[in-house]
Amino acid sequence: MRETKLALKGCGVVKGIAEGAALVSEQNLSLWGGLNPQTGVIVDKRHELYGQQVRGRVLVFPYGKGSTTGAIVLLEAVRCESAPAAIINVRTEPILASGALMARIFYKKEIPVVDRLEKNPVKVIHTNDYVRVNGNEGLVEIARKRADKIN
Amino acid sequence: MLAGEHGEAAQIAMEILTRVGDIYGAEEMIEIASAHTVMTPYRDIMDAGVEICEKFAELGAKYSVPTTLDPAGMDLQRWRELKIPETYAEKQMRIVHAQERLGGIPVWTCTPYLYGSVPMSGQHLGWSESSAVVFANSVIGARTNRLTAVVDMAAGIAGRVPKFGLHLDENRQGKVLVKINVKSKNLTDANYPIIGYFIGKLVDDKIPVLTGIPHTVSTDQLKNMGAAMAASGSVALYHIASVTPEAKNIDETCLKGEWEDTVELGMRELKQTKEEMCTVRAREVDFVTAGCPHYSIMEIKKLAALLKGKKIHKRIKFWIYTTKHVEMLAKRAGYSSVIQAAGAQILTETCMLVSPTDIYGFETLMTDSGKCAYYAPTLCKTEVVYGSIEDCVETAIRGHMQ
Repeated sequence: MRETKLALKGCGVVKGIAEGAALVSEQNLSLWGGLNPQTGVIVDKRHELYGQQVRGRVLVFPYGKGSTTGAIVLLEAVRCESAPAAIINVRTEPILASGALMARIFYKKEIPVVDRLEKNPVKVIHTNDYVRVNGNEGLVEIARKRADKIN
Repeated sequence: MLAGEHGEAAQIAMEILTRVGDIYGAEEMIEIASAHTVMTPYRDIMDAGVEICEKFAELGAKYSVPTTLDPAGMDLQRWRELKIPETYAEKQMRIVHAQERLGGIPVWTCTPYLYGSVPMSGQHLGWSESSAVVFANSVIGARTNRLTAVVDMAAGIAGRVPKFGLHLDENRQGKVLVKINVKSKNLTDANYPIIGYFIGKLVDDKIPVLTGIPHTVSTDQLKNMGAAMAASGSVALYHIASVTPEAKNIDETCLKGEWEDTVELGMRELKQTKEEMCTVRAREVDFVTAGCPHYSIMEIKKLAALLKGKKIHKRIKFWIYTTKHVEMLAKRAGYSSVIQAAGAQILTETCMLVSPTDIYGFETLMTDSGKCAYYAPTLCKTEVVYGSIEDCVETAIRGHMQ
């Protein structure tokens, strides 16, 4: 088995640097009603990530779905140490981004958010790839310990 | 202010607003006339919300513009009687005290535009609460984006918001034309939330322009239509041709312009949408509820007339949610005693969606609110039946649906 690497350039929406194993979905995700912030488990039964743990993962999905109390769900997850390490979207929904940027302000926790990558992240990144997210520079580095090559 | 000369709280508020502005591509800040915050129900904002409210209060933050408060997570006076757990109530009261220290206006309502903080046309605001945002933008012609929790407190503290979205003229134009082909005698109170629900699902966050609504439409009808639209979609602004302030001069020629989509809404669509708003067909109902958004004094008056001399089935709870102002007026006008004599209860400063109604184990909820019908399956964990207030009352008396 060899390690393949790929770096993708995008936009840093929320600053910070973090890394972890990717958790990828092709479906849009609403944290409000979708994530149990105390446990870090996806609780939306209609979602393909239902039952998955997001704690410490690099969460990759196309778009967020906003709601007026959406930002607080991410903050509560941070308070309970159940938050994802970083978030990568095709395009980040601003309420989700507000939650991530306030995590640093209130809980000194950086959750970098990167979007608009040169390739579609939900296609290029696979669940359990090891991903490093640099929100300061809008850079995503992907390492895959598998024989198949990254397209 | 960002440099911190107004203290740490103001610095935090400005940092939040500046970074939110960066995300949306705002070039500058704009002063606001008022703010409205949803950092109020413990059920929604959880322990992180308690901590953030208290953090701002401990730093000595004060709202620098009138900042009204959304409903709390329980009836603040009658919570013991309603069997709200002590641990929950204790957290809720910490939020209440922190918001009081910040100088929040304790209206505890989603209808601050009726009681507490009435904006003027053209004013910039920093509001959250989707039903209030859509009312302020559409019916009044004020200008606010749909702020999210915490950012709304930052707006109240800093007295400004990043200038983007609905603060700018170019983003307030209608995109989708919705022709309402319903005879005015069929434009009943109960049909407005259905119209709102239909349009929200159709346009999501695009701005609809409605035709076929008469200028005699009531404030409550628009309140209830907008709330449903902002729930089933993310609508923050709609226009009604020849009725709402920014569509006063829309005439036949304007309506022939370029639209992303043109849709007709008739009796058939109303019937289909009403069915969609119900998760069950004829079944026993155990919770009948109204006041989402908070009931106005006119709605209470209508309900009292329907309940006069009637008795609600003993198996059914009938709870109506409103503000302290309306409760006081309802007592004075004698509506409260009529409603109580029938076995219904008026609860204040909270609602069925933000208080822990799931603790009662209700199975089927019936409501005259389009917004409540949309959220109840998730938030109240019940089946839902949507109906007119007349049907709600009839069901509550009979004990089951016809």
